[in-house]
Amino acid sequence: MKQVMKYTIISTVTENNKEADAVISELSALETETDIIYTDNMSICGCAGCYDCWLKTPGICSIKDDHEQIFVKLLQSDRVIFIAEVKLGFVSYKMKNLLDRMLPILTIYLKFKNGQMRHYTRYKNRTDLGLLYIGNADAEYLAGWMERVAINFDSRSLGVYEIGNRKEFYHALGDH
Amino acid sequence: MHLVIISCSPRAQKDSNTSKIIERFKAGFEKESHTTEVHYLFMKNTWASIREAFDRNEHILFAVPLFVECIPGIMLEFLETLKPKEYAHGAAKTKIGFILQGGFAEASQLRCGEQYLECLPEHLNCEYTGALIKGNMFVLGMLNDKGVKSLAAPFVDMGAYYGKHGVFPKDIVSEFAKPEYYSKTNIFFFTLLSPLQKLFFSLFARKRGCKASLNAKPYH
Repeated sequence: MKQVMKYTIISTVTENNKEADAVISELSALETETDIIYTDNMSICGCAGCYDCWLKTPGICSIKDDHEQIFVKLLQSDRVIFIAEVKLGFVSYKMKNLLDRMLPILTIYLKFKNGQMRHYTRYKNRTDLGLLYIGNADAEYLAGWMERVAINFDSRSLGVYEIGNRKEFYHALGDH
Repeated sequence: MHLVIISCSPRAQKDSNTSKIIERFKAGFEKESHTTEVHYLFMKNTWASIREAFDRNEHILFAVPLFVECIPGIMLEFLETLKPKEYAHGAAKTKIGFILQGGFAEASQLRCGEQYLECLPEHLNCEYTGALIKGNMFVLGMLNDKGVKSLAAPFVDMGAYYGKHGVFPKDIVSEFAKPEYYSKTNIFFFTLLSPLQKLFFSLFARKRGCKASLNAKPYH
């Protein structure tokens, strides 16, 4: 029996964004189990850089806010697709905060992988990450950045596409 | 030259590795009779005065901890509140430099972040003067004052260099940031001695009051 892929779409743009809505309905129509999270009305702080999630309460973030439900959802998903605005040539802080807060996925323990130092991941499951962005950006740079983000979390990048090119993204999803 | 230094760490000043680096850099920079003022992004209620300092001054240095391959969310949030600079006819553009520090020792781990910093000043209609990158800075938080002073000492010289030249040339940065990668021999010995690394971190965590395994899986 074919296993159904679990997707989570995390939209960090304001609700009722037409392009983001289109992505959500198009991806939901795929042969997948899809959850949708809108972060616009959630309370999510930036990472405090305290490293408590490594050294004091391993695996648990010291900040108690709505991020925990995103963290749990990410652990339960095969693939997470972010929708984010681009500001100053990079993803908006609203998306970056989500990723910065993913640190509890890693342990403090270190290893080498492909010639570079990495942290061991805390959990066995791997969640692949993709990004559809709104605005003007260097797509090649963002794609390279996402590749490196994925390597850190021992996962794979599903690619980075401007939201208008999302059909290419859907096509590429089938190749991964 | 008067340099506005903006610490982009979300950590309070006393706990911040970035602040420790700034202290050393500043000591070298001020040797050349230059002056500095330091601002900290971790206190959001001070952002209005930091914006004002950014708008008013011609020499800015952002000191940045690497977070997930680029700049931290708190810095992005602050930058999104800035307006691109406007200049009187013929006026020189504001110059922006960076210190980018990370936990992993290899300079190659900081290159993706450095690449973004190269294009950031242009978005603010400013001029890029380079990024001083350096890894292995996680350990600053584990050292006593003497150890911090010793590990961060090279930043004094780089502060003096920036005071004299006003730029961080790529070749000098690469030399400062070495190693780009660990050698195969180093990787072999690190891997061989890995149990010691785990023991060290476990003991360090116990000292901080941690009772759980560092491999705990609370959301399993």
